[in-house]
Amino acid sequence: MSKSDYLILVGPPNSGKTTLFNWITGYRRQTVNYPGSTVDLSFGLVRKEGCSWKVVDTPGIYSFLSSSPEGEVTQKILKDSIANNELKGIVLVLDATRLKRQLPFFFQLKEAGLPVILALSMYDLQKKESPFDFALLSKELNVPVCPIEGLLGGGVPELLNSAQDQFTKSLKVSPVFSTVWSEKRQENYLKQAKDIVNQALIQKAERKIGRKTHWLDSWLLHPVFGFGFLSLILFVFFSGIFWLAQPLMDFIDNGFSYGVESILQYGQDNLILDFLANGVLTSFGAFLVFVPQVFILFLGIYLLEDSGYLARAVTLVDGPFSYIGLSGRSLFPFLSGFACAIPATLSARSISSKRERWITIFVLPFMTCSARLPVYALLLSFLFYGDSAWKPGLIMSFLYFLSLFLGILAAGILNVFLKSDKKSSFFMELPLYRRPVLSNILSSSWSRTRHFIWKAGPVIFTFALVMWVATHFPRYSDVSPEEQIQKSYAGQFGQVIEPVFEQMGGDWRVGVSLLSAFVAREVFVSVLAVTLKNTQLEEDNSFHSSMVETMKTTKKSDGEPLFSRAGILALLVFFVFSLQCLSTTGIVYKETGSWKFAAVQLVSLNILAYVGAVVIYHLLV
Amino acid sequence: MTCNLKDLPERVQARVINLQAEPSLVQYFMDMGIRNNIIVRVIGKLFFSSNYIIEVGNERLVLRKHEAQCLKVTTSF
Repeated sequence: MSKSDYLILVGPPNSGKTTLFNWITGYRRQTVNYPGSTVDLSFGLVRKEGCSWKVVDTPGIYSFLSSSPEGEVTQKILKDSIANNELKGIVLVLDATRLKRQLPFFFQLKEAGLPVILALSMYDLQKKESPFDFALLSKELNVPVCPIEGLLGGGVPELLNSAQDQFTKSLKVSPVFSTVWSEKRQENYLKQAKDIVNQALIQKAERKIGRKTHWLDSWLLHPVFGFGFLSLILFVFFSGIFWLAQPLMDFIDNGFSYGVESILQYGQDNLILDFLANGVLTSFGAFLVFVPQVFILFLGIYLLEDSGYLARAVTLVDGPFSYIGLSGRSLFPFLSGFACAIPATLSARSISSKRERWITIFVLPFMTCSARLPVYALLLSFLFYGDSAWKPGLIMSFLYFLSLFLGILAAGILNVFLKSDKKSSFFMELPLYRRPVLSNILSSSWSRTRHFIWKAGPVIFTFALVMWVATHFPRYSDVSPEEQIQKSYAGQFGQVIEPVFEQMGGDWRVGVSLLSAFVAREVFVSVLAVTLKNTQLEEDNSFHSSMVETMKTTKKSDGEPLFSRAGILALLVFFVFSLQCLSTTGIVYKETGSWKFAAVQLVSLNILAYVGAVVIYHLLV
Repeated sequence: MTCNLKDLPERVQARVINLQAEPSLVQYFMDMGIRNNIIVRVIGKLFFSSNYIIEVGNERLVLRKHEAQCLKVTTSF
């Protein structure tokens, strides 16, 4: 068996493909409990008795009959792997509790001539009431059928054994996917599915929706109380991000401060030690200190998904969203946008209407992404210096709601300009409530957080290096550290652009930090840390003072404090509106296929941010 | 009583007798298990009846008012 044999997992949304993928590969990844949110393929590796298979997790689709981007992606990987002689077999993952409805998908794959075996997920739920006779089911379908228990991973070794036995031949024929079935043909396949499943049921008890789901839905989907619960859940979620993370943040902060101090005690005038302490360590510390918040953010999103509540939240907001030209499906990209705009933009693919998708993508940068967290946390810590932790927590929650409100407002405005006569669709399953699998949620959250760190880390390091060089060169002898900074490359450039940022209360250091944030927002904090720490050398000779204390004591060239309340509020307004992440702009171009769209979004949001910041500053100063 | 699903009172069981929609939506109805002669029940309506929560067999689905309008149902069995 060659190294590039593909074992492709296919199945409807929410059928447990991702959980099975995790069990097979040991690589923990997002387990989706909201239909349609897996829009990309995921790859993993499984080794078994000398064999090595690449396992592919595909987006959820009900069949190849409904045209959708997810269906096209799945068809493409199937066709490509066959063309390259790489397909070994397909594992069709169907929900055992919904087998009668989902089995026609199996007939479609068999009809196309594809090598397929069947994995029945959620079998732990099904067998409580109506267990299957698997021998009979396999005989009727003429393929191995393996039960899978998602919570404990039961049945996975048997599934891999079946795959190894079944997929022994290379596929010779090119499959032909039926994209149209007549209603009569579908009826026949559904009847055939029903007959086979009924025969295979050992106890013929029809599973009913549980009392728990009835009771929970009566409250959580209540036309009035449902919105109250949603607001409460989101409030706890967003405010929890701040106060839950605080002890860990303090721990990391103290650790980095200690590290800087330890390095500098070996020589404060040594250029290399200065770079390590004030360039590298200070920059990374300023960023890594916010990792606990990012982790808790992802944890909350996965908890909502895994429990089944996210689908209810989507349903609740669909009504109000439909008035501004969106659907409830936009909620998932919006919530993902609170983590990072890049996966959020990608997840907007699950919105079938192009118009709704474009409006969602356009307003996504308003959502408070995790890269803004370090910035907000720093600015709020300045505003509430010495106050109780609940105050910045409350304002942080307010900023989250404000960003959601602004996004919705912007979508409403766009909806007026982009009128459409065609009614959009919102038709989806409500999954059963489930007890979230903690290990899955923790590992998925950590995986995303780690990805975030690796994505931002190199950028921050590069910028730290560039900024340190820019603030330390050209070298002058017999000048004070402040003069050195002012005469440096960064200082010279900053003074050229200073008039622009003076209008919002900043000086060249704020300007340079804001411009560098166009690579990644979180870079703002680290660049500010580098520039402020360097300029403070003479004033307080304190390398380990916290950023906030440094900001409190930093002066402009005219002797006035650099950071006033008005200036900080202006910066907050700037960050609420601005689109500073160029990676997001690249993804937006890729997803919309339009440079015009990406450019208009980039320019208009940043002009709005600048004007808003200038207005706020002049109103408050 | 024969009516569109949108006019069916809550908690009343009805049988689907016709899917009157464009082919892609009909296909999606079929994928989600809604076809002729299937029994449906409206469980609740949300936000000024803009969305309908329905029960089909042992599953709960949610759809918009204009989609509910595409399903002709009867309470005669």
